Amino acid sequence: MAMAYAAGATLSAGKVPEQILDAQVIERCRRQDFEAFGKLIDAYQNRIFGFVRRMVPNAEEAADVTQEVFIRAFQAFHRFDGRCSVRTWLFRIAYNLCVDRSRRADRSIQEASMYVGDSEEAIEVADSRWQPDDLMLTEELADLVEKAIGSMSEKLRSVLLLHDREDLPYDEIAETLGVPVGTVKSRLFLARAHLQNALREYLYGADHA
Amino acid sequence: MPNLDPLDQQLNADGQQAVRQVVRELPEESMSMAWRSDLNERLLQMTPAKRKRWHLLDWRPALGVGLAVVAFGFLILPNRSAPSANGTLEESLASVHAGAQIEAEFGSSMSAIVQNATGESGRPHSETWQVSDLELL
Repeated sequence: MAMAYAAGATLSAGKVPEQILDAQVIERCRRQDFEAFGKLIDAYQNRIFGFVRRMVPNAEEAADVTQEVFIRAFQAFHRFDGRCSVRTWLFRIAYNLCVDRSRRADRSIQEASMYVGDSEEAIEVADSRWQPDDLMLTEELADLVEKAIGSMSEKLRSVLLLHDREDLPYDEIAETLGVPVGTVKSRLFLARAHLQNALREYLYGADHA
Repeated sequence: MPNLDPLDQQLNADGQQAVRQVVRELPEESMSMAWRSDLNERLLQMTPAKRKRWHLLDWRPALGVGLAVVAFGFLILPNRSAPSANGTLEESLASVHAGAQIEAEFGSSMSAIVQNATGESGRPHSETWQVSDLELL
C-alpha cells in the first residue's frame, strides 16, 4: 500500500483545487515562479498521486511518477495555453507518463479478460435493484472497490478515475486519451458495470455472485 | 427528462450513479513531507542554473570592458618609472610628478574608451581614436 508515501488518508470532500488557484498564480507559474508553482503542487499533489497510484503497480513507482508529473509541468508551463483547465492538463501529463512507463516495462495495456469494444461487451450488466442508499463506504467496501479497479483494463480504469473520481468532463477525457467522446462513455459504462459485478457478492451475498 | 441518447440514459441509471458515488468517496492519500521536500529539491536544481545563465548574459558587456581596462593597465604600469632609492630628493619628486602626469593622461584616455564602449559618448566613432592620443601616452 502507499502508506510509505502517504502522511494520512482522508475522505475526498469533492473539493475542486482549481478554486484555490486564481489566474494570477497560473500566470506566475508560466514564468516559472517557484512559490506559485508550490501552491499548484499543494492543490494537486494528492489527486495526481491518487490517480497515478491506481494506474501503476506499486506505491513507490506512483510516487516517482507523480514527482515526474510536476517536474514536466514546471518545465513546460510556458506552453500551457489555457484551452483546458490546469487540472486536465496535469492529468494528461500523468496519464501519458503512466502509459509510457507501462510500455517501457513491456506490460503495455493489460487487457485482462475483458474486451473493450463498442459493439461487444463481455461484462454482464444491469442490476436494477442497485440503489445509491445501499452503498455506504466502509473500509471493507473501499478495499473491495480498490481491488476491482485494479483488476480492470487500463483503458476502463483511466476513464473511470478521470470521470467519476476527478470529475473531468467527457470531452476533456476524450482529448486526454485521444479517443472519441462516445468511446469514453462506453468505457465508463463498462467500468461501472465491472464494479457492480465485483460488488454484487458483497451487497447481496454469494447467491448473486 | 431531457432527450438523452441511450448510452447517456444508461449512465444515469441508479446503479451506475451508485458506483460513481462510491468511487468518488474513496479515501484520498496525502503525500508525505519527505516526498514534497525531495520534489522541491529537484525543482530548485533546475531553477538556479537558469538564473545563473541570465546573470552572466546581463553582465557580459561590462565584464568585457572591465577585463580590457585591467589588461591595458597591466601593460602600462610596469613601464612607469618609480622613485629611485639612490637618487636625490629632487630627482624623486620629479619622477613622482612625471608618473602622476602619465596616470592623469592615461585615465582620461581610458574614460574615453569606456564611454565609447558603453555608448555614452556623443563623439562619432572615427573621432574617438587619434594618432595623437597614442602619442600622449
